[in-house]
Parts: sequence; C-alpha cells; structure tokens
Amino acid sequence: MQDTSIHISNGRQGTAIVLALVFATILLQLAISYSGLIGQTRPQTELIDERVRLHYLSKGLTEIALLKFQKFPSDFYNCWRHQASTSANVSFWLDTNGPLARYTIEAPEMKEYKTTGFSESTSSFNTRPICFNLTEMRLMTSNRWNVEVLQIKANAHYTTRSGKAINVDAIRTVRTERVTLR
Amino acid sequence: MTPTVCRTTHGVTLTEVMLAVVILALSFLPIIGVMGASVKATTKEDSLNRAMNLCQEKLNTSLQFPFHHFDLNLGVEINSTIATPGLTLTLGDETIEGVTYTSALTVSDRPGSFLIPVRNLDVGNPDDPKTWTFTDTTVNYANLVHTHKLKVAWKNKGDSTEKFYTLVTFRAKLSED
Repeated sequence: MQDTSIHISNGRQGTAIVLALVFATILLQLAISYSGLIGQTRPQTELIDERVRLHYLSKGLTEIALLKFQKFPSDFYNCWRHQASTSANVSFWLDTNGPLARYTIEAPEMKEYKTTGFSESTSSFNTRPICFNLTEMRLMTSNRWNVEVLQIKANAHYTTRSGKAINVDAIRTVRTERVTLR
Repeated sequence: MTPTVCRTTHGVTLTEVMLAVVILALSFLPIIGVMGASVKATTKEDSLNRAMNLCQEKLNTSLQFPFHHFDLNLGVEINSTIATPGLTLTLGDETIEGVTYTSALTVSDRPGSFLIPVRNLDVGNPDDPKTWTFTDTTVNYANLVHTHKLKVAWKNKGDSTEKFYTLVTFRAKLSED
C-alpha cells in the first residue's frame, strides 16, 4: 500500500542548540570583559599606593628645607635680595643659576636622589626607585623686616612599570618673622 | 484517495533540550571563575588598603613623638608598643578581620650637609644687592634629621607569600620641636 501521508516540518529543528550557543557566546564575552575590568582595577590601587609613598617623601624633603631655612635664614634673605635685583625673570626664585638657586632648588642636598632614585620606600607591589627634589622655595610677600610667608614645594616622581610618569607635590607654607639681632 | 496530513513536531526534542542545558551550564563556568577571581582580588586589595591606612596612621603618630625620643633606638627596628606621656604607638602584630598585620618602625639618623652661599660682607655696596658676591660654604650636620620608616607586613588568606608596604619620610629638628 502506498503511503500518501505528507510530513510537514515546522522548521524548529535545532533551534534550542542554536539559541544556547548564542547565549553561551554572549556569556563568554561578558566573562572576558569582566576579567579585563578586574585587570584594570589592580593597577589603579597600586597607583594610590605609590602616590601615598611619593607624598610622604616629598613632605619629608620640605621638612629638611625648612630646617635649612631655620638654621641659615640671613643667608636665604641675602640670596633672595640679590636674585630679585639681578634676575630679569619675574619668577626669579625658579632661576637655576645664582646664589638663591644654590641655596634652594640646585642645592645638592635638595635633589641628591634625582639621578640615583630612592628605593628604600618599597612595597611588594612595586620596587621601582622614587626620585624627589625641591622645586620651589620662595617668599610669598615682599615686606622686609616684617611678617612674611615662606612657601616650600617639593616633588617626588617615579615611572610605573607601564611607563607612566607619576608626580606628587608637597607644599609647606610657614609664617616667618625677620628680626634684627644686635 | 485522500492523503493524511501528519504534523511532526520534533523541532525541540528532549535530547536537544538536554544538550542546550549542558552548553548553557558550561558557559556559566567561566563567569563563575571570573567572579571567584574578582572576590579574591577584592579581598587582596582590601588587605592592601588596610595596610596602607595602618602604615600612614602609625607613621603620622611616630612623627608626633619628641624628636629625641628615639635617640637610644636609632637604626633599630622597633616592633613593640612605644609610648610617651599622652601618646601611644602600637607596633607589632595586630589581627584585623582574620588577617595579621605586623608593623615595625625604624628611626635612623640621616646626617648630611647644607650648601650655603654666604655673602662676602666686605665686597660690594651693602645697599645695592646687585653688587653683592657670594662664596659657597658646606655645613655638615648630624642628629638634626631623622628618617622614619614604617613597614607593615601581612599574608593574605590562602597565600603563603608575605606582602609588605613601606612608607618613609624625614623629620627635622625644627625650632618648634
């Protein structure tokens, strides 16, 4: 007897597997991008860690600069007056030549780690050397023989493993008073 | 003869559904793996942040001690609690949320020298700074600047490697001390 029945397929064969594969691919992509995000978070935490270390080092240098000023104030004032009168630069305290520069930003004790780095402050996350130096030491006011403000700025910097330069400044501002010793 | 119409509905069979479920289950594995790694990373960062905070807190406290308080221990690692009237600094082991942090402070002298351009008083007009000349003088110093180094070490849960974090700063004997 001849089979006269007609088979009608509704075209849904294999649909579940296709859907599952598509869904699985999407999930896999999510996992990959999430994994990438985690990978980016860690360096950010390390940057915070490094910034704190840089801050403490530059802050320490301002302390040494202030000590120098406290021990030898008249020499600073003499250098300041001389530089102010001879320099053509409005921001003469940033000059790298002259006695003021030798007292402040070019003094060896204020930038001695510039070439050698400072590796004592380390962590198990980053042991790259840190350099720091005095960047500015200036009087904020022009009153002579009166109350003045002295501002000291130091910078600490290092280069991350990925080659990114990180800089942190520390600023110390103190009130000073000139007195004549007789 | 009239043909019989037979609708076959075997588009989604039990085998197919089971296979799909298996594929989906497998695809969840990397997600679960990444989430586990994320939790571990967060825990590690939490430990690092805590160590950083502890380190800062203790270093700041150490800077509040009188300058000459550490004279007898210069260059020696201090890992037990130290105190001065009104001020206590806890060093050594501290367990916080199951992680033991070990803090140690080392204060050492940092001798050095200052370069001082000194004005030649017998040269030039005292009222005209342009005419002044200077001679560089080096002045050595000792026991005027201390290096404060605070190290916090810890081990993350399930990790045998010891991690550490160090902060260093300088403390000068300023006239206000």
